[in-house]
Amino acid sequence: MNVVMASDGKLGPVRVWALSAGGMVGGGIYIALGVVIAVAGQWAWASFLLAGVVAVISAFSYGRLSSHFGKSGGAFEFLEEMDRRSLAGSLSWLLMIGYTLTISVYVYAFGHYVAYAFGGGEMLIRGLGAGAGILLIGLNLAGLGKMTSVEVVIVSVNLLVLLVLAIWGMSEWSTPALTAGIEPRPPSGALVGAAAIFVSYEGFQLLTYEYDEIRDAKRVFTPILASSAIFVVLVYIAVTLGGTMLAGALTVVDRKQIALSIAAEEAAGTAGLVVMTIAAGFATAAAINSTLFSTAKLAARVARDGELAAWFDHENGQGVPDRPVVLIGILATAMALIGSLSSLVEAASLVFLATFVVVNVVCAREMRRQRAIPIVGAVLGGIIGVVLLARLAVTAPIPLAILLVLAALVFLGRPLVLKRVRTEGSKDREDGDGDASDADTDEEKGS
Amino acid sequence: MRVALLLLLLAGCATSEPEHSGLRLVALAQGPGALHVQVCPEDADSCDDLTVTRGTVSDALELVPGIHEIRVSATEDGPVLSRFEYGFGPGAEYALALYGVADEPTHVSWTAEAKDLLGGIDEPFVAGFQLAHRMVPLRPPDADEAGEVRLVHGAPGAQPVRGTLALDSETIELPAVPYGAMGEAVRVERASGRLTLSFEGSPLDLAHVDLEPRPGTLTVVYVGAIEDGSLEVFTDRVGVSPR
Repeated sequence: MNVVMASDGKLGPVRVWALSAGGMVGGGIYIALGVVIAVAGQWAWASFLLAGVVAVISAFSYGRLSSHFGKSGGAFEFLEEMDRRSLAGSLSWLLMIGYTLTISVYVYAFGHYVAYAFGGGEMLIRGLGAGAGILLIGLNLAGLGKMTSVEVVIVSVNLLVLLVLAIWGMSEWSTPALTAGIEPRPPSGALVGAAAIFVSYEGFQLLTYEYDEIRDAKRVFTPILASSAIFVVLVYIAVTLGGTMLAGALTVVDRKQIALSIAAEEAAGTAGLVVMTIAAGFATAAAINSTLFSTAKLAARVARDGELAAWFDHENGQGVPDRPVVLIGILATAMALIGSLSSLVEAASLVFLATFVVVNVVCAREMRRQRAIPIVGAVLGGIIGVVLLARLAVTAPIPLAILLVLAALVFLGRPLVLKRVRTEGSKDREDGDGDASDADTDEEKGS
Repeated sequence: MRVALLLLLLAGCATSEPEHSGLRLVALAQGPGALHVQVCPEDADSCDDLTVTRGTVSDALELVPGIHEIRVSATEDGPVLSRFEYGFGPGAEYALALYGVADEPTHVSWTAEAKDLLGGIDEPFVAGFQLAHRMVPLRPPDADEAGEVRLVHGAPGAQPVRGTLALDSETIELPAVPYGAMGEAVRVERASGRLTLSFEGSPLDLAHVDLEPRPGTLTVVYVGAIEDGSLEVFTDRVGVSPR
């Protein structure tokens, strides 16, 4: 059997594993490292471990629920299957906000990493970010949003570069580098750090939208998601330690937008910088591409179920949900150009934490076996969520307020909005009414 | 072959002296004319003692990599106003800016501690205008790269400070930096220029400084306490310029 591409055209296990791991590593680590060291200092590795425990458990829960219901669609589908349509609709709106923020983080990272290699300033950073956003919207519209073969290559190279950096850094181990230039942080900082960088683990979710495309999914999906998440936790811990060894803690924090380029430059000079820039550029571009594709598909799917305006359920000649692609892509690019890094990363973290907690709760309710695992995930995710709320209240009250207002609008205002806009449900009713009146007219004509 | 392997093994086992760290102390604090600073390694009996006059940067102290406790007082025999720890990595250079009002020992409330825990080292103002500190990495660009300029704001009670660097044919904006923070290092292609500082949103100039941000150098512009109605501003340049 070909484990990469199965003979029936479906995704083989190796490809699914690579896409799951790459979906997580794609953009997160490039901008999360400086953020987490600023908060957790020498305990940054423990932050990735703590957040990783929630991510691994959530991957397990996503896998089991996908296999249980046997459908693509992730959290939205799980809740719909449980007849929680309203909650499913609200959560899907929140997820779309979260994905849009995540794409903007990737655009931000792309602009900074590539511009740094060319010695560019703020204008070049913004120009590159905007260019990447527009180019990838175009690629998606041309039907190239799902380039799994290309993605697998990019993911593999990206993981290889990160692992080489991590091993190189750890081979130069020096414990003082963990606190170089910073005040040692208390162990409790690890919890705050876990809250700040949780978004780095969201990527595996995208695979749940492709469940129908996976060969022998019922058997392989859960172990693939869980094992890829475990692998990514180990990669993040290794890169955190290795990167800090090479650049020193204060430099990683000070140059957080390009921390891994600085570390690679310290390790191998210009060659290191070039390799890291290529890896970061392609990894973030691939992450933008695949996240945009999946989010647009989710929007179209949600619109088809009448939980979003019917306007979103529109395909171009390539079968691409073009309107969501353009709208989400432009919003994300614009936010990347005007927003600050930390608030973007953390606002997105809050959305995904909430979603993971919900999925773990659903898993604990639906599954008869091993229920303790998702319960632990939900409790730990809830604790990290509360810490993140407290952190945002202190460090970024305005982005937090905006996010809470958006969440309130989603939960309270969504039904009102859906009553006022044309949805698939209302369209069907209108079509039904139209058919009936047509029939009446025909009868009248006949008589 | 065996000899080569043995040599490789020996090279791998060889121990070398750890590279020292360099630490400059920068006195920006309002109040005393100088600050007395003790830098004490975690596991050692002896400390480095230094007195730094306000508005100056000390010579670099050579420190063994590791965690050091730093004690700051107004005089050599006076009470310790602030006591804190920093880690120092091998082969790195730092400047420790001491700013705020140095009139009495700092008191860190539980809310300040909570803000520090939640905000991390990026969040300034955790102890109001009390004596505080910020570590500045002195990592100049390579000798063939453009020079860099960055602002450090240590004037208690002052609005965020921004800079406009006028060069021969262009001006470069240094984004506003709030009290207790340092701005990003901004690349400057020209070798000399005039920096004008002002409060964010204000058209009034606060101070002018002539800079020579040559390639391969990092120029740090420190904004210290307000004395006699004007900001105390001074610069420190590190790095090796090819010219």
